[in-house]
Amino acid sequence: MKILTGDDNGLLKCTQLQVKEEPKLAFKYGLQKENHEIDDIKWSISEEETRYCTFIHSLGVVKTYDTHTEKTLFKKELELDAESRIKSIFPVGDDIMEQKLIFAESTGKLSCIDLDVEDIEDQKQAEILTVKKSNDKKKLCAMLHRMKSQYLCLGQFLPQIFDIETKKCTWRGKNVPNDQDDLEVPMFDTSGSFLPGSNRTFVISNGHGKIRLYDVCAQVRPVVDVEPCNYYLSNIKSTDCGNYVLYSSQKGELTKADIRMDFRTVHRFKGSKGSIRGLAVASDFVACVGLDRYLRVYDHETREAMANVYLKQKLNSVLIDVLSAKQYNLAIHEKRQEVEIEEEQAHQYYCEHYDRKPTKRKRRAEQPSDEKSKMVKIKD
Amino acid sequence: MVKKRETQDAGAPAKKPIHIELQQKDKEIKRLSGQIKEATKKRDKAGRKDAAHKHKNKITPGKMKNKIKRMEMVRSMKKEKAKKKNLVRLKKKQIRLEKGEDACPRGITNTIETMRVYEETFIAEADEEIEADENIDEFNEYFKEKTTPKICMVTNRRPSRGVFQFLKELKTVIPNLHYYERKNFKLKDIIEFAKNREYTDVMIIYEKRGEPHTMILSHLPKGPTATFRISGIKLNHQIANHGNAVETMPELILNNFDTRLGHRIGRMLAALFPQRPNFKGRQVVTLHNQRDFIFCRHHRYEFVKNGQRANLQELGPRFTLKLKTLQHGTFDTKFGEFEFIYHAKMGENRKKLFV
Repeated sequence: MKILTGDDNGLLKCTQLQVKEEPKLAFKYGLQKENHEIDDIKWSISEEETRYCTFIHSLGVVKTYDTHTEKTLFKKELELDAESRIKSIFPVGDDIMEQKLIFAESTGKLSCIDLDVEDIEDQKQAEILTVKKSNDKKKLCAMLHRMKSQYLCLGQFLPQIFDIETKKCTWRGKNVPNDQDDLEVPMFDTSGSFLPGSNRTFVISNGHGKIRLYDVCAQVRPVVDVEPCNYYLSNIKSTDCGNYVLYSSQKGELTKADIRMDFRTVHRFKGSKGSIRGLAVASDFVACVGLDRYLRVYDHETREAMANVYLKQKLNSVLIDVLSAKQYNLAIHEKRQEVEIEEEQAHQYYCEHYDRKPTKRKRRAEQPSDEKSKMVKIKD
Repeated sequence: MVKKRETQDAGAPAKKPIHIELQQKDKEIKRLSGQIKEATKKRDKAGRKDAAHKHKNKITPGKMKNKIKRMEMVRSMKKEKAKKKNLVRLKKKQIRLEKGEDACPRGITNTIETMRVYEETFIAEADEEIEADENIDEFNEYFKEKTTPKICMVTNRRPSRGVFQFLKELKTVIPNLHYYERKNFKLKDIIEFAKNREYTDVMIIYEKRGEPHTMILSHLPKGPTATFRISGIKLNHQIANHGNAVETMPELILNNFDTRLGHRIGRMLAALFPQRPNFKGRQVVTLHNQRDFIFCRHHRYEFVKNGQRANLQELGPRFTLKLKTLQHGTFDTKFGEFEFIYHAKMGENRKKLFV
């Protein structure tokens, strides 16, 4: 399984996880410079074609990288406002040679730029729209792709869906009712994720420790509003089945919650000592990276820790190759079945040669269900 | 006048004449053989054939119902075990004296440091990537001599008397340390004021029950912020044969900051002291890390015997720090991101160390 990670120093690293071997570093690209953090990485074409990836540095340098040849295709510098950072990018286009990049700045600007191989000086970035008033100090924290040309913007304001072609707001959410003291509940949405297979329901994590579920077609206010903790939640992602949600906090806690039961915690994954900055989910696996300089991969179905890889720098973003994750999943299933068969054979051998009966649990499991209900505990 | 104190022996010991050495060696061998004879004698009850634990039925202490007999049994077992251990030690010593050290080499004593759990972030060799990262981090301006440390010291609201003596003595350890009253200011406001006045660090000392309890150290302008627990405080007047410190720029010794986290904390503490010390002042501050505790000591030294040995005199204060949290950026517990948080469960395995 291939996993790409972006550093605090500007390094892009690829780690490869294998079933019977230890994880290894496939390649490392980039120069270590000040203010050169990799803020976001995305696959250039789609999740199925994972040859090219596009990533962005904090000073506004965009690069498209070929993971097979390990070379950059093209590089562009963007013009940013003072003290603004790019929060998310979306490459648009099926042809790698003629693509456009849509990016969102923390000041609330959404812009578009052409990523062409031929570096023409006349090409300028075109500002599409601004999400909020320019006087406000409120920040934009994340942008999600809904469908076609519609994008969801999240930050210290109400969640809004914009259509880039018409440059209009198609949906705007509403805040939760005032609290007990009749004060407005502050808005600070840090990240979100659409549930798989739907364009109407999405989940949001809050900087004040809240998780909300919105339904665009049902109502404007959040359908479910839960407060699992009172500190900063940095990331949230939904699993492939759509029933669970994985969210991370500033203190390094990675939790799995059930959407159907109002985000009740199912499991807490241990290991991370620092704040988790990047989360990625693919098939049964979840990868998290953070300030403790480790890449951790867990199987959220079996709750097993698959790998802890030390990557030397503070990590910002992570991206999983979905196809290789599925292959890895199959290989792991086969390995687990082999182990189970070996254990059964060893147990049978032991029972035969040492004339021992199987343990109580196995005896009860082998009994038919009618007899189990008849069994009564005898008290002294 | 610096009083003499036995510390470092830089030079080689004085050689004795050969015949005296041989005489002393013979004496030792005779003494050892006498000790071994005594140890092998069967005068004690524990070594006798009819000792309770050597009974033919071999009753173990666990099955002995009589408490007095049971206690006797256990005592005699322990005595015999100790005797055997002593015998082995004396015989080894005899062999080493007769045939030399190589005939019976010494083993390695197991300590928590030698049995330390493998830590991946341990920096054993020079690493290009780590060095390049440290060239870019928040402390690089200090190490490139672009800034001089200037520290703002503040306490909790309404501090009591017990803290002030510690603060006064801290001023003698760390040069360019300025104290300000806390009054009713918020910490975030204090950090803004300090940035405006070009301070490089803010140090906040909290007290509990009249004594200093925690220290929050925030590097400016971009962080990080470390929280330490202060313990084991001994002020100047409580130290035997103490001296009185003078406000100079001391030399600095940092020991055992080996992991990535340790490097970061070590650089943070080093950035409190000026880069160019005043060697004429002959004062040195030692920050020694052992088992995640950072011991802070302040000494004055004097070279003796043509620079082969140094006498030390301790100046106050003496205290210990333990890292509790390391937060990325300046002080912000609500929205700040933590690089390291110490939980009580991390201390369950005493051989696992983080700094």
